[in-house]
Amino acid sequence: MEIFSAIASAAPGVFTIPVIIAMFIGTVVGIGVGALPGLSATMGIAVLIPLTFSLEPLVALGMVAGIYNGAMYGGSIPAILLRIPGTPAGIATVFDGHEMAKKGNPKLALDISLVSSSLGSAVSAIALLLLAPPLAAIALKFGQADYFWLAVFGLTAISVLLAGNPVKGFLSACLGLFVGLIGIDALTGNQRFTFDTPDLLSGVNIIVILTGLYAIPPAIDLMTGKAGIAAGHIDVSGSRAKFPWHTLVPVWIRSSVIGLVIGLIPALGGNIAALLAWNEQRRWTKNPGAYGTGEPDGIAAPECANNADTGATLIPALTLGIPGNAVAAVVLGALLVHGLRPGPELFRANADVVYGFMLTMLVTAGFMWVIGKFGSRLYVNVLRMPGKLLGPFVLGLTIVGVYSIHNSMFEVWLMLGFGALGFLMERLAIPTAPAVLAVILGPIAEESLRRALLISGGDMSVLLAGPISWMLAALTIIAVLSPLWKAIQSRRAARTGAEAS
Amino acid sequence: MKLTSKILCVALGSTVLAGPAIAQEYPERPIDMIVAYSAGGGTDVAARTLVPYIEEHLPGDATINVINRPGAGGEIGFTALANADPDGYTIGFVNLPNLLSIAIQRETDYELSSFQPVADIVYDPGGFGASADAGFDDLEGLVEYAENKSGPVTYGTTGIGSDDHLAALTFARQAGIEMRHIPFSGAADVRAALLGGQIDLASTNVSELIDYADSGDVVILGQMGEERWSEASDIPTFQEQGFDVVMGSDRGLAAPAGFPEDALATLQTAVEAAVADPEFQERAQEQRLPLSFMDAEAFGAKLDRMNENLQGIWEEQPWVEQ
Amino acid sequence: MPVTVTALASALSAIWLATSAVAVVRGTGKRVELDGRKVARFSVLCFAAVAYVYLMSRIGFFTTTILVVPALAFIGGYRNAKVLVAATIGFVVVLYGVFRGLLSVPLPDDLLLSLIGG
Repeated sequence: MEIFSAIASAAPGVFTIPVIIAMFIGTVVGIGVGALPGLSATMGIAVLIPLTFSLEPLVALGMVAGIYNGAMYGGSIPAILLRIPGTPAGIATVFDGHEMAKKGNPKLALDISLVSSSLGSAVSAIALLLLAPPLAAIALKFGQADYFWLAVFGLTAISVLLAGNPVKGFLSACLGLFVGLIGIDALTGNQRFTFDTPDLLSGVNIIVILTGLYAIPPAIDLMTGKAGIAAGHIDVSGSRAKFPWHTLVPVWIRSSVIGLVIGLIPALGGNIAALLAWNEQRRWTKNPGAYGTGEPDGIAAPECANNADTGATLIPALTLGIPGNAVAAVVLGALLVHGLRPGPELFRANADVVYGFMLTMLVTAGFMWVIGKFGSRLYVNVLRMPGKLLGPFVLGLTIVGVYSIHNSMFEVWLMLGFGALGFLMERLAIPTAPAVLAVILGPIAEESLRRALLISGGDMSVLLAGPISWMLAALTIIAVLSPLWKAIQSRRAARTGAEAS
Repeated sequence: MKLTSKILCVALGSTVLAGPAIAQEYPERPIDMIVAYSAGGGTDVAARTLVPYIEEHLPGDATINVINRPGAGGEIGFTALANADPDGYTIGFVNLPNLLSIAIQRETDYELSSFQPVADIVYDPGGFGASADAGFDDLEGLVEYAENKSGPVTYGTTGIGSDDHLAALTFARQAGIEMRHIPFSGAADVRAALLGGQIDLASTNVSELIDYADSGDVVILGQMGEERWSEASDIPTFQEQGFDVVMGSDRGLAAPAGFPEDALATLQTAVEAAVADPEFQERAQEQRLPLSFMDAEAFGAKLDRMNENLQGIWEEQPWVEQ
Repeated sequence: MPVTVTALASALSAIWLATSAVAVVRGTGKRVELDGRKVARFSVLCFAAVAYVYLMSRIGFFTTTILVVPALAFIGGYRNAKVLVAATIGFVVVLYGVFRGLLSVPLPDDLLLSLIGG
């Protein structure tokens, strides 16, 4: 086995004191930037790059791996405790995580998130280590039409299933689609809804939207004393509820697969993986009604999936030089700084460093578990802080965080605007998650559709030319029809029930 | 009252003291360097790799802060640079032809004369890449293939108005063949589409393709520099193959117009020494950065020439629908 | 093609406008009782948030934070002055460490920092 000998020869480089310290620091920093709204792994790694010039490549890359893995887990901490997802990938964790915390089990929620995240990362790292080249071939198989169907599938599934009220869900998605249209049209160079403002030409950054929609309304609630969790009945020790190992195992298997597949396909990434995993989990279960009320599976699924995405995203990035998302793009930057050019030559010319880097992805998954285990006891104390004091801090943090993404005041204003919008939507009980999904998926769907048609010269048949397209189209139809089917069935059941009585 | 006057005195005193020192020791405080692209991107990595070497070759204990102002294909950062105070303490990376093509295709708050060129650092020639099993390996073969193909040849680029797009427009006109433009959002996406067989041709910088040419997945049909790039010396240029297409992307340093002359001179010398530094050259080689130093005057002349050329293309064939 | 897409977008936003009008009507129908004090407090909060960002661009982020954060907490009804001052200072120091020291984010010029020679 060629791969195993490559791993074995890379291992001694990983288990040296400086690399271990770097991985440890990276993981801590990652959890930190993940937990703080407005900061993200992308930024953490980007800032780190110039600092690593003088370091050994593996020391630098170990830190990068730690940040990447840690941030995906870190995003769930404020999502559970404060209803504020620290990263876009943490949105789905809010649904059940915060509800569980509200019921008095914040520690259990954090533990489930931690174990799920660590497992997801580990699975992903192993896939990266052993299967990178064959899996990369899948990424290349994805044509423009396939991207289109995938994006449409993601859109319909969430919009129909997520909202209790499909009209409001659809409305929210339309809003997202509209925001997604802002900017320069990549295919013609025309400006759309930019109002002649250069700041809007490259569109609206997803982190700006997310921070506005998800961090501002809870901050307002905190300040007005409407915070969800009363400090009185918190069980910090976590001893009250048992960890539901046996029910979570199938959830982990399913969600890691979803995370892996989504990660492999460039352009989607952890945000989508987490939401889809939560959605699929709800679809598989026998009691979908329990989701969103503090179901352990509802925390495990998105957290496992968004971490399973980390290593998988690196597969096309390392083997083909195609970064699947913004984080992978800066990871490529970090590799480049150390003279590692991603692509076909990478595995041959720099095998030790590359396999070492993949190993650090695996090792940091373990570190994350250890750090999180001790850390979760500390984080829970955030809840002891009076909300009226915490609220202004959250506000200050989001402002400086959003500013530092692009050093732009404009985006801070935009974030405040989305904050007001999010507050309004929340009061009107319009779900915000479909909007966020639409912002991400809408442009992918539109661009890939038009690109596919451009390549074919306007021939619509390309949309169903390949097997992947067929499969995804079928899934989309099922996703649209299944709620209808369920509605008909439940009506029929109600009718027979009425007749029987 | 007393306190304020004291502060005033101290402030005045320090300016008086610092006054004559400016002329002698130019960077007396940190210099800001605006990069118009995201942290971690190609331009950013190149800038951050170069910065320590410029710092080293500047007199005294100079520091340069890299400030990322990404957005609108670079326009946000370019505008910030153009509008900065020309006091010698704000410089920036400018990417060509984006700097010029943006100003041609839409209203901008800057023009070429808003900038004082400092130095050209990287020149990355464009090139055409095709899949290894495409059945042709030079431009003549491409033209033949295009004439026999039922539909137009599809080519991917990194976007509307990019150097890759403009180069392909020029080539198609000279060769008299029909080519259909498929814009993608980055060089990696173009490469993926080429390797996945979705497009016939990738028009992108040679440095983006060279690794894949070495591994045998891609053939590079030609490069668009005036001379062959040393890392790809076996690939003929377009001109050698009889097509007058010279295109590529430059990354250079510029400052706002009205930049103090002594500061410019100091900076230019430091940049030249930094680019010539063997340690930097080694790092650039690792990143496959095609270095090509040009001083302020030569770079300025190149900017003017390129602007004229782009204006010409725009008038004949505007690449954005109005 | 771009025309159709833009038209589609406009149609979508029109639908959105129409449905949201319905939603607004439905939403206000549900919550008629509005506590006057709460509304006042809410608008003060909104104003403070806008003031926060505006002041940040004028006198710098850290100076503004020192002014606005305690004010907001006070308006919110937090009255423990000692904790408030200590927490604000701690918060600013941590932010300074992270954003200026570690990340060297070019924040707008800061009044307070320039006074103490930062």
